[in-house]
This record gives sequence, structure tokens and C-alpha cells, in this order.
Amino acid sequence: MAINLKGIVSPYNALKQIGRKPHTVQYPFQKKEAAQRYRGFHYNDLEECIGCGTCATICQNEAIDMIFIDGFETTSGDSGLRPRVDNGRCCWCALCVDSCPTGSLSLTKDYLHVSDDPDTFLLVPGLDNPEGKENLSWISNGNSLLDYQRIPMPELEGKERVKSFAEVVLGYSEDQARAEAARCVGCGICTDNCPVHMHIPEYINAIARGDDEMAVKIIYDNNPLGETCGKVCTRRCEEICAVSKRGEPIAIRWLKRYATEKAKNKDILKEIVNPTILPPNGHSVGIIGAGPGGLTVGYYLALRGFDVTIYEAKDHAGGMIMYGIPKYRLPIDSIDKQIEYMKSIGVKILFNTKVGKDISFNELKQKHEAIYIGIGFEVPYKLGIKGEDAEGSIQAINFLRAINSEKHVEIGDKVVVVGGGNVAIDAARVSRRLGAEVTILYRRRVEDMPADWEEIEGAEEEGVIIHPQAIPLEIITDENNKVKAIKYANAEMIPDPKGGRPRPKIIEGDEHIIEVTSVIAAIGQEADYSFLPQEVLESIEIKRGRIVVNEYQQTKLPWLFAGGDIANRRADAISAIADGYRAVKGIEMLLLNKEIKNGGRLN
Amino acid sequence: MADVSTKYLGLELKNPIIASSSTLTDNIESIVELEKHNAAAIVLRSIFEEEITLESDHVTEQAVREGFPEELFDYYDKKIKQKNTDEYLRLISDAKAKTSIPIIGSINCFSTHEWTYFAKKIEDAGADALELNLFLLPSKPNSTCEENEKLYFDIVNKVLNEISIPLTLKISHYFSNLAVTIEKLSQTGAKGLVLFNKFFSPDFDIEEEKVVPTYIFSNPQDIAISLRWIAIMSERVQCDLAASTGVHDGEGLIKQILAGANAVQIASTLYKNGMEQINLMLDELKNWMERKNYATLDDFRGKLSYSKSNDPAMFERVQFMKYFGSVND
Repeated sequence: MAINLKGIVSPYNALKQIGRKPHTVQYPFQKKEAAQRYRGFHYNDLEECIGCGTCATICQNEAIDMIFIDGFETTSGDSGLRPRVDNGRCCWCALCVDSCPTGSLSLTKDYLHVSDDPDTFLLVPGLDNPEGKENLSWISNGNSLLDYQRIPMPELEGKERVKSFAEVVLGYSEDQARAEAARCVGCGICTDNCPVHMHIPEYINAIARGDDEMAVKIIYDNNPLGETCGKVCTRRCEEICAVSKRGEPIAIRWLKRYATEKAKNKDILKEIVNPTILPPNGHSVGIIGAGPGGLTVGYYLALRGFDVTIYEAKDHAGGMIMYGIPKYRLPIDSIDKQIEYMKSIGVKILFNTKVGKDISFNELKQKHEAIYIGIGFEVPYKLGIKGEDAEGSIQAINFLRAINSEKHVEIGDKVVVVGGGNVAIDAARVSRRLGAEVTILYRRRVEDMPADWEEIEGAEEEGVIIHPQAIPLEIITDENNKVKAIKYANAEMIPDPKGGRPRPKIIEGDEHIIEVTSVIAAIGQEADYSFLPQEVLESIEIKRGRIVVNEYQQTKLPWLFAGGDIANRRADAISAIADGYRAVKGIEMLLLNKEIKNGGRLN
Repeated sequence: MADVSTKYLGLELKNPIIASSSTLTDNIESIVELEKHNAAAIVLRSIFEEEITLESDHVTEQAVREGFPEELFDYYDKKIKQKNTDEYLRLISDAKAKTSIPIIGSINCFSTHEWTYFAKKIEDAGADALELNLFLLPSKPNSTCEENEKLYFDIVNKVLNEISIPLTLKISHYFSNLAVTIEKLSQTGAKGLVLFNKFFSPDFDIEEEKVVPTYIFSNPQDIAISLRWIAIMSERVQCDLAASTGVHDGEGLIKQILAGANAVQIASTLYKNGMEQINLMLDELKNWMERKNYATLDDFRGKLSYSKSNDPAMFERVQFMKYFGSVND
């Protein structure tokens, strides 16, 4: 029998492997490097994350929930929540990463986790694996599922605009609105920053799926001036839009405009909104001022069965939105439609009825069980310089009121507007439409101007010259006391040691004169409380010109409520509407004894 | 019976005691009381340009702390100024309606701009005269003496262009060439000069190791500075002089008239001794005049001024060595 040497020697071939690198991975002493684009455990940059929850919403396996973790509070633009991933459910499809608006969420190359405790498979990315930051494999980049570019709003060209008072914004087409609405991730972060807390994701979603009427119904649920807000809202919602973290925010205002304009008249609007109107409850409420706040109170109380009467000093409702905002931003037809709709559901408005003149406050008190004051700021600050009483020296608020009332105002062909807020910009842009060359003198820098940047840009596009760091010294007049020129001095900015805005200081001797035909002052307004009886003034608290109110807009007199510019911190329409909505809750609780809170003032 | 009436800024005063600008002259009740206690004229509390700026800053800071956007108070200083000036003009009207003595408006300003316009408003409200409380602390390293002094004259000239009521200037002694400056200011068209204003001054609390305000009232010893300069300047200026700071009693009043003052302004002594101090000072003046056989103030006004005194050199002595030397002689 022959000896099979091969068979004897072959096993020793294995000795050849001694010293060679093994093919197997010596876990746990070694770990295998994952592929470059491996989709392993999540990592979340907790500081970048805003807790929008888009990841949780999109996850098809319901593997992500949003939880509070230490160190993160709910703030404006941040829910305070952070995602937690159940790795027992996750299939690492990376949809969450690709739809993360901020780009904070990523996948890593890490894939190993061994434990007999099932709870440890719940991972709070970033918190439980801070080292994941060094091992990212799948990150959200330009190929994200989201569309970061806004659908541009068609507008009139600057040169065309100044030829008339035609509305500058032309509005989205249906296709444009659907496409813009489809960009929304529906996170609802915006809702928190909206003073009214409108149901923004819901109505945008309705627009995206083609149900515009539903969008209108949702809008009117807590905002009776949706169309106004669709045109002129200061849109704090857009400031914190999750999509704006890496792109342009959703055009929330323009989408609201698109939806509400679908109702062409008050009858269609009423048919679409189709509100439930409760039967009369026997309670009567008086409202002073038909501005956005007063109208909101009137609308929602009327729906709830209250007998409401608004006392309006002028011949038109709307307050500042009617008399302060130029018609190229908010056409009168639009305001009329909204007011007529409110009247149709039972809101009574007594026009040309100035409280304190045509009817006393005490009479109102006898007629109604509760009173809401929403008179706005209508008394302008004075420039306090020589010549301001001359012919041709005009207060912007009076100028805008006259123009919006279709009255003629002679301003000539060279106008200087003093101020830096929206009223100043409105006055300047209206003056351009009346054919004047316009210069704005503002005492601080352009970046300090309180006006919306969009309005500032609009003014510049229309040819308005903005001269920052310029302080008016004197309005020079002719022998007939008519405005002839304005003298101003340039200012240097002095840093505020306490961290506030730098303050302007006149550069001595750096004085200049501009020949003008009119000077329009727009440096601020305050309220006129002279209609209130002394005992009321002594019973309520007025601080820095504003009435102090509680969370229900209630003053220190339980039956007296206040809102809008005279009580809030923002001085815009949406804040006034929010005040009105809160006052409705307060008045309802006060008069119907519903869920009285805090003991105190409501009863 | 001694006649203590006098003329100041062309105004007839029943006596030479004017209630100086202070919190005693910022409300109508107190102003009426001062008249009842025989104050010959009232200088209303100064409306301070700086005070308005500070108030505006304070309001804005508080509002921002409470969550208001700073932009909401963009021109809030204008509102505060408007409120303060409206109240001030109302006070002038009230004071004119409720008293029969001259009412002098007062502005404290440190720039040439908007306040010149307000001077006209003070005139329109019925004030009999206007006192400009002028002071620029000469502490800026880049400003020359000429630039600092020019600002005083710019302000005075601008105000003079606006008003037709008499103007008086309350100034400090912080000038490098005080006599010449006083002389020049008296030639501007101003009808009077008030020597000198009393300043807020800082002090140190050495226990707490912090800066605190110093004692705010003047003392009788403070009269020395104004006494010297009234005496030196009374013959050289082309306008009336009022003495201020340190006039606390009848003796101080008499001294200032001997130096050449047309009137005195008092405040600290009113806080310390009450308004009755005016009558005590007047009694002391009258008794002294009767004792000295003076029938009117003009009989002895300026008798001890620089040019009329028996020892003019005394006014120029500043070093104690010389002073003590003369005592030893």
C-alpha cells in the first residue's frame, strides 16, 4: 500500500498561514470598517436641530418619536423636542435624514450594538452617541428631498408701480400655490410664533392637496381677517420656518392670500366658512374701535351668541389697516369684503361715532356688560423742530389717512419723509405714486430701521432715496410760512455701552439743506385716552403709553378689556387680532362664568 | 422804610430775592407759596436736555428687559420731550395766571439745536424772561478752549434770534479766561448773567468703594466765588448780574448787593430753612439799610465792587501766603 505523502503533508500547509493577516475580524478586539455610504446608527447635531419632528412624521416604520431632553427648552423656533430612534424598528432607509430641514440628522458608519436590554435600542442620536459626529456616512445635503427655493411671487416692476395705486403683488396662480404649499414639511414650528397660533400646516396642507375652501375654513377658525393677513401680515411665522434654516421659508403669507382670495365676495366667503352661530345668550359687549382687534372681538363674540356693537369714530372700519396701510398693499375692496362678511354674521358697527364726543364712555358702560378698547395709536409724535407747524409740514398718519380716504393732498414734487418705520416707508412710497421725488431722513443706520426689509427694498426699487444718520434740525419756510427746505445734520453712531443699539450724535457743523415742497413726519404715534373718565384712568394701569392687561387682555377693571397697539408689544395687525382672540376668551369666561381661572380679575 | 425794590433784566422786582431753579419751582402749588413768602421772581426748574435723553434710555432699557422690541421705542425720546415740554409750557401759563411776579423760564442745554426752538415756545407761553443754564464740562481731550467757548456764543446767538423777551445766562466759573468771557457774553445782547451755577459733583464712598453723589446743597461759605466775581465784573459788564450759590441769609444778600448784584438767586437755604427764610433775609436787609441810612438798594449797590472798594487788590489775591502775610503786617 502506497503511502499518500500528500495526505500526510497537506495538513501542515496550514502552517504557511502563520504570520499572515487573518481574514476574519477579531471582534470585540477589532471592528470592521463600514462602507463609505453605509447607513448605520443616527447622529443628531442637537444644537442645530429645532425639534420640528419632520423625521418622525416621515418615518414609515414609526421608529422615531420626539421627546424632551435636558438642556433644551421650548423657544421661538425650537420645540425643545429631539428625536429618539427605536433601532428595533428602524430600517435605515434614511428618509428621515433626507427630509431633515435643518440638516442636523445624519447616519453614521456605526452598526454594532450588543445588549440583552431592549431599552438600549432606543437611541437619542447625538445625546447617546456624541462620538457619532466623527463617523458620519449619510448626511443631508443638496440632494435633500426638500425644495429650498420659494416660488417667486409675481409683482409689478418698480417703474410700473409708481404710476398708480394698483396692488403691487399679483398673487400666485393655482399651480404656483400648489407647488409652494408642497414645500411645507408640516412641522408646525411656525404656529408657535404666530401671535394667533393659526393652524398654518393644516391650511397649507389643504392648499397642497387642492382643497382651497377647506384652507379658508381653517384660516377663519381663529383669524377673521385672513385676507388682510394674507396681504400685509408681518409674518413672524416665516421668520422661524424650519425650511428657512437652509433655504427660503415657505411663503405662508402668500399662500394665505391665495386661499382667501378664492372667496370673491362676502356671500361666497360666508358660504365657504359657513360658521356656526350660537343663539343669543343675552349678554351685551361694547367695542371701541373697528380696528383688527375690535373686529376680531366682534366677530368671535357674535358667533358665540353675544350682542356686540362696535363704536367707530370714522366712516369706515379697519382702523390702521383701512387708513394707515396704502391701497397698493391692501385694496379697499378686500377690506370691504371682510367687513361686510362680519356684518352679515351679526357684528354691528356704528360709524362716525366717536366715544367721548358722540357718546360718552359712561353711556357705553351702562349699555354693555363688558367693554373692549382697541383705539390704536393715532396721535403722532411731533418732530419738535422749528417750522413744523408750517404749511406743507405733514404728519404721515394724517397724510395716509387722507390719501386712503381718496382726498387730495398737495405735497408738491420734492418730499422729505422723516422716520424709519413702516409708516415712514408707506408715506414715502405713496408720495412717489403722487409723482414726487422722495428722500427719507432717518437718524440711525439702515439696518436699524424698524420697517420690514421687504418694504425698504420696495421703496428703493421705486426710487425712494434713503439717507441714514441724518437728523432734521429745522424746517425752513418762506414768507408765507410755507415749507421751503429742510435743514439736517449728519450723525455719527455712538456705541451703547449697555449693549443696546448705537445712538446717533450730531456731527457739529455737518449741516445741510434740502429744498423741498413738503416734509412728512413719521416718527411714531401714541394713544389718546382723553375719552376715558378720570375714575377709569385712575383704576387702570398705563405704562409707557400702553394699557397693562392680563393674559385675557383684561385691565384692572374686570369689565374693561384692551388690545392692539395700546396694549401689545408688536404694533401690527396680527398681534391685534391675537389680542382680540384672547379678549374673546376672557369676556366669555367673565360673562358666562366659564372655567374661571386664577380667582382674581375675571370674576 | 427802606425801599428794597430792584430791576433785573428790565423787570421790576419788589425785592432782590429770586427763587432759583429747583424742585421748589417745578409745580404750581410751590410757586404760589413762594410768591406768598415774598419771592420777587421765580426761575422755573430747568428743563434738561440731558435728563430727557436719560429718561428715554431708561424707559427703553426697561421695556427691552420686559420683552419689548427696542425698535418699538425708536423715537421715544421725542415723545418724552414733547410730554415734558408741554408740561413745562403749561406750568408757565399756570404760574402766570396764578401769580403776579415775574416768571422766568429756564433751559439747561448743551447743544445748539432743537432747544433754540423751544425758547420761542417758552416766550409764547408767557414767560417774562428766559434763563439759559449753560454748561459744558470741558473734559473732552480733543476740544480746544476756543471750540468750547464758541458753542456758548452759538447757543446764545441762536436763542437771541428766536426770542424778544429778556435772556439771562447762568454760567459756571470753569473758563480759562473768565473775566473776558463774562464781558463778551454780556455784550451778546443777553440782559443778564447769573454767577454761578451749582453743579452735581461726584464723591467717593470709601467703605463701599463706589462713586456717589456729593452733598447737593450749597453752604454759606460757597458765596466766596460768586462774591469775588460779582465784585470784579459788576462795573465791566453791559448787563445785569444776579448772584447764585451760597447766598443763605440776609448777610449774604447784602454782601452781593455791595458787590454790585442786581438780585440774588436762592435755593439751598429754602430747602434747609423753609420759605420763611425769604422774609427773614428781607428783614435783615431792611434793618441793615435803616441802620446804615440807605433808602434804596442803589444807594449801596456796588459800593464794595472791584473799582469802588478801598482795597481792589484783595479781589485778586489767590495765594494764602500773601493773605497770611498781610494779616501779620
